[in-house]
Amino acid sequence: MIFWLITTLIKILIVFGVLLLSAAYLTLLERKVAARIQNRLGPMEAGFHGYLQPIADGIKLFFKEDIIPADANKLLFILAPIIVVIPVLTTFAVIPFGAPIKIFGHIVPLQITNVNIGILFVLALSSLGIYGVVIGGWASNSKYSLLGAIRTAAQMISYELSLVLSIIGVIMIAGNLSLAQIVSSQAHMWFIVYQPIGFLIYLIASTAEMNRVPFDLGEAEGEIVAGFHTEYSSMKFAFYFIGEYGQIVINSAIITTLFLGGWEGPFLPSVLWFVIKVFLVILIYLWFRWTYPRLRYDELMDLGWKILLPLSLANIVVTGFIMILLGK
Amino acid sequence: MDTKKEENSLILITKNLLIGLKTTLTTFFQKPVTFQYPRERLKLAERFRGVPKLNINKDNSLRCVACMLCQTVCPSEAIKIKLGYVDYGNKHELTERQKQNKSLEKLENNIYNDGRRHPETFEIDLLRCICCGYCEEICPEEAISMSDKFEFGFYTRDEGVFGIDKLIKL
Repeated sequence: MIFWLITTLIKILIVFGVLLLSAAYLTLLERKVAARIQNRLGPMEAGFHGYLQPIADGIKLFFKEDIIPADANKLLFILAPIIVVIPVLTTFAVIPFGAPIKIFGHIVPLQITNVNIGILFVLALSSLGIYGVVIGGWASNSKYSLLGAIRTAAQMISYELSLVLSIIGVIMIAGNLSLAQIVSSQAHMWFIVYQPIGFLIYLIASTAEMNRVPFDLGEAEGEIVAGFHTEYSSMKFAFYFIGEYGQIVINSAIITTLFLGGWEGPFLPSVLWFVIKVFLVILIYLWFRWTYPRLRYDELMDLGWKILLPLSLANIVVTGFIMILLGK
Repeated sequence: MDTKKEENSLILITKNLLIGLKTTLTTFFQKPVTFQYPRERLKLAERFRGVPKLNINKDNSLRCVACMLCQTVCPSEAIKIKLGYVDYGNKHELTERQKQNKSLEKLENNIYNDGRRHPETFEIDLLRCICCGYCEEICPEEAISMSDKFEFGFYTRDEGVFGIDKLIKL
């Protein structure tokens, strides 16, 4: 029992630390990738090739003045960034990041908890993040924040549907909701082979759900200043960004787990395989961001309701038909 | 109507999206064009025009004869020259040629010179100078030419006015 407690605590600490660190360093990676795509160099001053930039940014944000607008709803204004960050940090609890290892004769699964409804847990938490955005936008008492929050809410709700439906194909093949089981059923073949359309839909819908370019209508700089976080400054602002970049890591981890075989892979240690796959998926997200311009609002809704939703429904039907035909 | 149909075709949209991804991927693997400015500088062209500088002879005397041509031609009126005569001093004996120079008679007493002009002050306001190179082009003595310096910073406008000492060093 005590052994279980200690290992779990260590796992939580490691996952928590790595997640926060990677969220911080994703800002640097994003800037570097953006720079390379635009034939620039990106941050070069802080440390060797700017590798200390996230730390410098963090220190700067800590010492910035923390402004709360006079007419803002103080409680909700402070609460909103926390609501954004908490679900992101919690989601990683069910994601298996490595093959079970043996320590002192005990088998320790490299996953904080193996919930048997892992996917449902992930989906439930990922849709909680929207509350932080909506509450923050409303509590700021600013027209830009409110507009951004409304846009984000509408967008997230319309993309949530196709996001969930795109996963159902994977669940049907795996026959299980537990993420550890889904990973182990991909030992022979990754699910991206069986579910290429599901993968694409999940990729697009998760980009939209995270409010990233090209679906960043909630914080469109050119139109509504900074959207829902217009009035935020200092660490509250940083919390929104930790949430945003944490969500990229989470979504990449989910894609890796559901479609790319999780930690399964030859030769290298399983944790390394997981990290490599997550990193590649993150790069795809960054690649999308710096390639496409922002969609107009009606285009966004058209894509969500007229293309992605029917496609994901058709995907489920076709998957079901093929499974019956093959007699699985 | 036809164009509208084409725009909305899913295959065409997908194709264009893929072309976009390919473009960014190719630029990703290209070499960045950025120069890390203070440490790394662009190579200046041979005929680069910076701000004008004053040239000197081998014996450190100015080449400028204060003919005022550059001041006249300067389109932004950045050059201001105060005319002066080369003073040989009390003990200087006039040479044969100087004795026959009629123009000397017009000069005031106790001024010992032969009418050779030189700039008493020569000022270029770098905040006005547009580095056009007209002064270099018109100068008959090759006394003023364009340097390759172009980075200046001043705290006041007066600091931007460079006198002879500073102009020689450019």
